[in-house]
Amino acid sequence: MATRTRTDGLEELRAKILDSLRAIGHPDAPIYIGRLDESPDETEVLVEVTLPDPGDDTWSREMTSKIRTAVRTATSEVMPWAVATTRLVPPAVPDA
Amino acid sequence: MPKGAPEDPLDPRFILGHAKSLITSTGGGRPPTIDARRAASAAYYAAYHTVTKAASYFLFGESWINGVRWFSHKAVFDASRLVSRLGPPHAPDPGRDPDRVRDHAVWSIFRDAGGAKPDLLDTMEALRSLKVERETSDYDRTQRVSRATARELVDKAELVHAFFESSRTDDADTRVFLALAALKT
Repeated sequence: MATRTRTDGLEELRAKILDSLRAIGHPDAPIYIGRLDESPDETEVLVEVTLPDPGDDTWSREMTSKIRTAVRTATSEVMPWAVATTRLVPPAVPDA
Repeated sequence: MPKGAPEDPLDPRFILGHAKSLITSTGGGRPPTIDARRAASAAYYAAYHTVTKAASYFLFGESWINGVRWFSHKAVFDASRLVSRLGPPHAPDPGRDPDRVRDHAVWSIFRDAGGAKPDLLDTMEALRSLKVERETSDYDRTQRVSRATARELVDKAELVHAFFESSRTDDADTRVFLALAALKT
């Protein structure tokens, strides 16, 4: 069976996603990137993007679509063997 | 997709209605995030049942309701990852190494189909987001599930439902996903 060496691209991916989010006008905000699952050929990366708390409303579909697309595109460029899944969250506060 | 009046007690439209009622609820004395958590979980199940209905109909036609239990959560999400990784028109050729034969085959099938279109890729990612959030909502007592997040997930589940109820299920890229979900089962 063939073997291949793969570098860990999470930090590069983080930088690329931050650049992509800035490019679509998303203000600097914490993002979390971690692995969800990994097999020898595939990595699932969880990208958690913090958005301003909209209160009882939710975020605009246009904005969330842009963010998800930006994350997906950045991941395909930096880690083409990986699949990105995005979680959108308001700033952390204690659970009630 | 099946038409006509729903006879399915787990019809995704019912589950979506339940999820929406939770995100508009005033809580009734419950901690406010309980309703958000239950809405996120219901949104995921609406999307999952939508996909298994479409995949079963793809295989069994009008007998779809007897085929849905053959599908599994893992199969649906393994298939969604394959679409996201190998389906985009710009996805690199995984190569022909012996351990890449299956990946190369899926990549080639998508090339023949013209690649996965953006709305299918959006739908695949929505499915995975819903699954991640369901697991957080149902099991993780340390993370917050906000009402905003739940509303966004219900919106995503509605998009998944609309996609698989549309004529997009007849298109080559979507049929590849449905076939992969069946093969992974």
